[in-house]
Amino acid sequence: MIRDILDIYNRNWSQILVWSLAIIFPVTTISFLGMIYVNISQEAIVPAIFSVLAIVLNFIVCIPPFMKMVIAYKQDDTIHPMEGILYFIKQFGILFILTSIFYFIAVMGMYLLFIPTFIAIVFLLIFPFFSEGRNVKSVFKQTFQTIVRENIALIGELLIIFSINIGCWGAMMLFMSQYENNIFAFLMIRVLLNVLVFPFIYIYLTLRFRKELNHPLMD
Amino acid sequence: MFNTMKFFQAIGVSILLTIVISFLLSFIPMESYGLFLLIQTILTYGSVGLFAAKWNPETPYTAAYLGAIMIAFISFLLSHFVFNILVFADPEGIARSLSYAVIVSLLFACGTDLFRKKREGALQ
Repeated sequence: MIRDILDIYNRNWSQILVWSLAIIFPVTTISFLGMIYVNISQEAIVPAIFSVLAIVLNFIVCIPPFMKMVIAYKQDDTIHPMEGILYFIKQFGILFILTSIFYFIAVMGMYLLFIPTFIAIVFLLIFPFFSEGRNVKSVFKQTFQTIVRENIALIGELLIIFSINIGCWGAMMLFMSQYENNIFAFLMIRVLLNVLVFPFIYIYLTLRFRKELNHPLMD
Repeated sequence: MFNTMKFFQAIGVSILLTIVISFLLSFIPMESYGLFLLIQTILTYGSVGLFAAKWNPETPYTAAYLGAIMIAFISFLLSHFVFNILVFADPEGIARSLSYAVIVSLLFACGTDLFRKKREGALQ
């Protein structure tokens, strides 16, 4: 699995570089500045909930071009960087709206012993990788099939994502703690973290959830 | 047949256009807030009407209407929960902004539909 991931990364590094500058950088900047604005403002009722929504959206919205790249690689093909950016623009709406709805369910589910929260988080982890379907029904159907197939192992994926992010963030904060910091330095560190970590996680999760890519002739 | 995927695509493109162009507009020093709000209203709801009518050619007006209502509702929720503006205490304001949104969106959808019909007529 790790050899596959490094292989895909090495063969497509130019596209990944362009998408890091053109997609991950602006998305991370806007979400981080939005978080700071909401947390500083005196008027906001629930700044923490909005901040977590910004982090989740930041992770989910950048997925489509990388997923398309892995699918093209499995068919011995490469895609042009512009194609990926257009695909990002195309998929933005459904990712944004479904993420908002399911995040709202997850927050409201705190009053029901956290059971809807776990279901919604697992759904949020999986559905972006099936979002290129023809209609919304097929997206839901494939997502629930994957949830049933993987069931308990999904906690492992969640642990991997959270621990990589928190570990890298903590290491970078240790490195930064000797200097005088401001918002701009934190923003740059955050962008650097996302640019370094996100492509590997996206490639890994695509290979993990799209099982039919590994055996294209079997159905 | 109403295509939900294309409808969501239209909403996403509209939100992205609003974010990008209002970020660029903020570098221009503008005297009046009214002009800025007018530009943003036409940009957001006009683009959702245009793209919804373009990508949903069989049900252009339904898609444009639902898209405008949805974006207006998202903005109400955001201003209530994040900015703590008491929008739900002002029913007239809600009616005014919803009707402006729907009017602008339907005008752009109508224009797109007329344009397409004219072009198809010229092709035949």
